[in-house]
Amino acid sequence: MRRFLHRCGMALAAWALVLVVLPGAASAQELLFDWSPHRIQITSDFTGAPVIVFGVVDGPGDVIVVVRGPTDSISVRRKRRFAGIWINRDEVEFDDVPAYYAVASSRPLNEILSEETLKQRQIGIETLQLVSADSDDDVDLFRQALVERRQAAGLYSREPGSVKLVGSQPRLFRANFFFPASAAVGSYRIETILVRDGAIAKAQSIALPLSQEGRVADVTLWAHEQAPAYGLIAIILSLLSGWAAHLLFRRL
Amino acid sequence: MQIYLPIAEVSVNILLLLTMGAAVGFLSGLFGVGGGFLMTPLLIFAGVPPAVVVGTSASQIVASSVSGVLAHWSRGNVDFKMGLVLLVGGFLGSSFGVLLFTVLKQIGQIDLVITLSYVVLLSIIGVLMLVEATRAFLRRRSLTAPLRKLHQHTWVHGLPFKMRFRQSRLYISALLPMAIGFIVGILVAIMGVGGGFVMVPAMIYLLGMPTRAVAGTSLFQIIFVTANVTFLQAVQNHTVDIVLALLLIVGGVIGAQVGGRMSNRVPAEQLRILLAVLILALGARLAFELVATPEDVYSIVVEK
Repeated sequence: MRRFLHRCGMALAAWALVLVVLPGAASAQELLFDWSPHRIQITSDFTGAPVIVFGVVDGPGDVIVVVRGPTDSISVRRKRRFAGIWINRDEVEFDDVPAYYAVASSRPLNEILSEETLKQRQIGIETLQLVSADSDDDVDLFRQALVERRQAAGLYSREPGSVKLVGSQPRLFRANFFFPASAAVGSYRIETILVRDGAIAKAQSIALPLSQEGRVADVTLWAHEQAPAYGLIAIILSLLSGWAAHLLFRRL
Repeated sequence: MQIYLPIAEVSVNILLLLTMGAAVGFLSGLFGVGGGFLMTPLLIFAGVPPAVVVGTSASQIVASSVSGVLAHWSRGNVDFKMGLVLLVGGFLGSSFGVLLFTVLKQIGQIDLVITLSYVVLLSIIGVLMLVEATRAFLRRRSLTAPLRKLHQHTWVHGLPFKMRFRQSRLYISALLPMAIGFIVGILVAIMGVGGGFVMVPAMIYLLGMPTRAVAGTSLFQIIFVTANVTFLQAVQNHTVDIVLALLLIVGGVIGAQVGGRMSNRVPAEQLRILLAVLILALGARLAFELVATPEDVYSIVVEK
């Protein structure tokens, strides 16, 4: 946490410096943003990571920041009682489900943009379009269950977070996000949107990679790319440690 | 202290894993059981995905079986010929089991099958152990040793492909140990256990092997069957987590040695009764999970 605060402090200080030294830089752009850390690295002590998105807005307007994870197909299963025990009986598959979804805004979303625009741009958790090719009567229930599971895991935001705007023209903004340890690896997208008079004045998006690094990445890559060798090494390691244990404890 | 497990893709407390390994190792050393049937539910409870638990347990059992079999070997208590015949069945059974595991995973019933298998097996073993240990306990009190026939002829001895097993002083059909190996092999693949707790009674009561050769021979074939499962799970399902395996091995090896030393000093029957009760409680807990209305009837799975 301290490291995170330190990092945020450094980042904001850097921006303040940019504003002081280059007063013209911000006014040339209506919306400029950066984020920290630039890539999220999953190492063996990874327990989740905070990310701060910050920037500068020239002129009036509200700011919305949306972070989306890589998409996957997800099966949602429902248990039903069968012969006295609970068994997975129904299954609905959803395509292109983001592994992560969080949104932050400087004011409540429905005060900033019309419902149509929010829906069209998929801003806000309730506008997420989770499409299924399956024709179950209860698709809506399954969809809701999917969102709730993801919210419980900290992967989807429950409520929009806040974008804090500070200073007068040009204004600084920042928003905080958190990626839990269970966040999927892949390419995330950060989208910042500047809204003026109920319309999107400017939108920018950028990729944020979340990847396994170091030993963790080596093991995963190895397990998938060279599965037979990995399996053999796992066996040899086990054989050796069993043998070592025998030798070690026979002497004691 | 948390550690991120690369294959399981979860972050788990490193001390928790070491303690669990040591506790299960201690019990297995104390009672001479493999401990896989305790380790699997514990790891699932700790938040590791069941598929990874089963794949990884297999590699951990390789390690504990090696250290166990070496001790038996030095005392000449391993019937290698019998072990190899069991192994033929074991290889076929475990390969079939891994295939079955993959199919069950695809249709979303693997968790159910794992839990159901545990309920059935834990109940049977718990009851058998409880009865056996209570009898032994009472017998010791009355101080009358029961007489056991050295050899009994049953339908088993009418089967074809007879083989001579000199070390076990048996002349029986090779089909029987192969069938036992096959069934236990399936259990290894699906439940992430060594299967000793099924193998040992089957060897004593079905094959009629002398008790002293049973543990070593069972461990001998478990090494190869669990190695086969480790390999197949790694190749087919990518569910073997080397980091998790090493942590469990370290804890398990130490626990097993301590348990093994303690076992000579504690009253065996009372402890066996205790273990039987523990096993039954675990079985009852899992059975309750199947029957009770779940807190959450929905579950989500990422299709990779």
